[in-house]
Amino acid sequence: MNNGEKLHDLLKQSVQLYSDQIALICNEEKITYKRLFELSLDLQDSLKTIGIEKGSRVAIYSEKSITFVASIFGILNSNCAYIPIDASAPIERNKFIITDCDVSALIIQKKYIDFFENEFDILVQFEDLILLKNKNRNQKKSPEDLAYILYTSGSTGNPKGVMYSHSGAMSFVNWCNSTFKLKQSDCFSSHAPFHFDLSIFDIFVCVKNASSLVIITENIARQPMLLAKQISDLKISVWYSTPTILNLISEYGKIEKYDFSHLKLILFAGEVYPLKQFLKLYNKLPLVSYYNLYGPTESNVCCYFKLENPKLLIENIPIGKACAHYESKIIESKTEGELLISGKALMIGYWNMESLTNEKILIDDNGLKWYKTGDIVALDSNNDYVFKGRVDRMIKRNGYRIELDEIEKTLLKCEGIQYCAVISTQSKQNTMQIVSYIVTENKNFKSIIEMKSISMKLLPIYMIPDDFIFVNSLPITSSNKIDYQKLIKQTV
Amino acid sequence: MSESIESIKENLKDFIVKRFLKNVESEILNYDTPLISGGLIDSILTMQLVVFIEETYNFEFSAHEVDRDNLDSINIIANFIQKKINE
Repeated sequence: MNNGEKLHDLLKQSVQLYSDQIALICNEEKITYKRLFELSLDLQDSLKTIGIEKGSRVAIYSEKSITFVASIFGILNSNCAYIPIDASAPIERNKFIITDCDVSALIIQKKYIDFFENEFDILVQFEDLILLKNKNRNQKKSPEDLAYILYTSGSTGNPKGVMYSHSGAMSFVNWCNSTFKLKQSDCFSSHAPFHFDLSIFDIFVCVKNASSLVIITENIARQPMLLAKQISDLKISVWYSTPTILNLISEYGKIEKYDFSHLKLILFAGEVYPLKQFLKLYNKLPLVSYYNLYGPTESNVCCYFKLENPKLLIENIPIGKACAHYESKIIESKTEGELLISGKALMIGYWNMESLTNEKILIDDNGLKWYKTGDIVALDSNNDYVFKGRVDRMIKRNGYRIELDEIEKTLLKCEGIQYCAVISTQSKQNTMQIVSYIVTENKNFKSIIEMKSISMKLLPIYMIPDDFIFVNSLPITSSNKIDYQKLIKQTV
Repeated sequence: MSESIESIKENLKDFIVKRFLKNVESEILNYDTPLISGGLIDSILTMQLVVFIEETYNFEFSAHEVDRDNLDSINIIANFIQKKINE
């Protein structure tokens, strides 16, 4: 049983030992552990003053910043759960999340405030953000020990919230500390957005070690040359991102111009890293330790693979074996099939979606909970799992989970679109392509340019289809469903 | 190199249409169409465009120049290229 340690205790411990150590670096700004702790106490006071009770949920709607991280700790200090919102996503999607999650308070950047004036009272300033309180005072209680809720793509057309407990997150943090050789003198990257589960490693494992965290803001997150420069200038030693970003840096970052000698550990997760592309990075930076981390948001990392001799790999980079705090098996003990995982770091469940939670979590004869990952895996000759595909229509792009049905259902809401079918294919360069077939009403001609700009208003950028194909009708199977297989064949 | 700004624009349009769009779209893509903020090109395509510009016009982007402010439409890119080759 967990000893009840909470995520915010990590900050309390580090500030006692290393109060003057730099905790956060963001663009030109940096703050010490002492200052970070003070900021989190300030927010805790403000939340108390406006009457936010423990067990509440508080959303943070902001670009990445030092105040964002301080807000996370302030909310957790108050025994509330934080809900990080993707400020770059369309407002309608974010409003859905904030309403769905039934938050008591919202910490928000000034520029987004107008959208929430009807439902929220504007109260106090917290550094560069503003604290709002929900006018409706009857929020549902959170489950015991809830630490945060991360929203991911949902096949119903709306995002769904994955609830995570302190004890689950702590067992992940402790596993990281015992697996990777981390030190107080390390400098961690925070590349992933805070609504993405990679950020749990970045923030909490860094704070546990009283190391420094470089917050990489959205404006440079996809600029390989600036990323390479930051890794070098700030002497980042621990890097964690999706393969897409590592590939951008290795292909276009001009890394030979920079000093990467401080970089000792690269972790990647969120999608498949094609071996050929990985080897290009490895050949440029052969002295770094590399790990492939695997796990859906529902479990955070549950399997891992250390790339000790990557040149000996022939086909794919395995997702490896279950982490020490997890158990794993293939469904019905087959040699290839859906991966099931069990462990105390599993999510509590989906927020407000009990039937979906019950559908995804099996309980065996011993009362053990097993999460059905939806990922099909097989075992290789070293008993490592190898990812083979999905049981459903979810895909991954730059680490983001995308339900193709969410794109479809969203585009269908647009005027002038009669039918829509969204598929994914591999391009010649082996990258994932999302293709949307569109049947317009009254043969209204729409261009790709027009469709992209419509999509930008409705979907987060990573969900925007790469291509739109206009057709007169969609192929139908004998059971009168859209024939996706046929569409995939005719697209390739 | 003394290429006119008009021919730079045509050259860029040609590359963007051939590499990132379908030929049918060439009439709809104009010199002010937002490329990055309009969702037409993502970060990888942006870098492909940067490599194309670097190779064609024989200069190197510095890290902070690879930015939406210099790359969001054909007009913006052409002005940036002209500024760089006159430097």
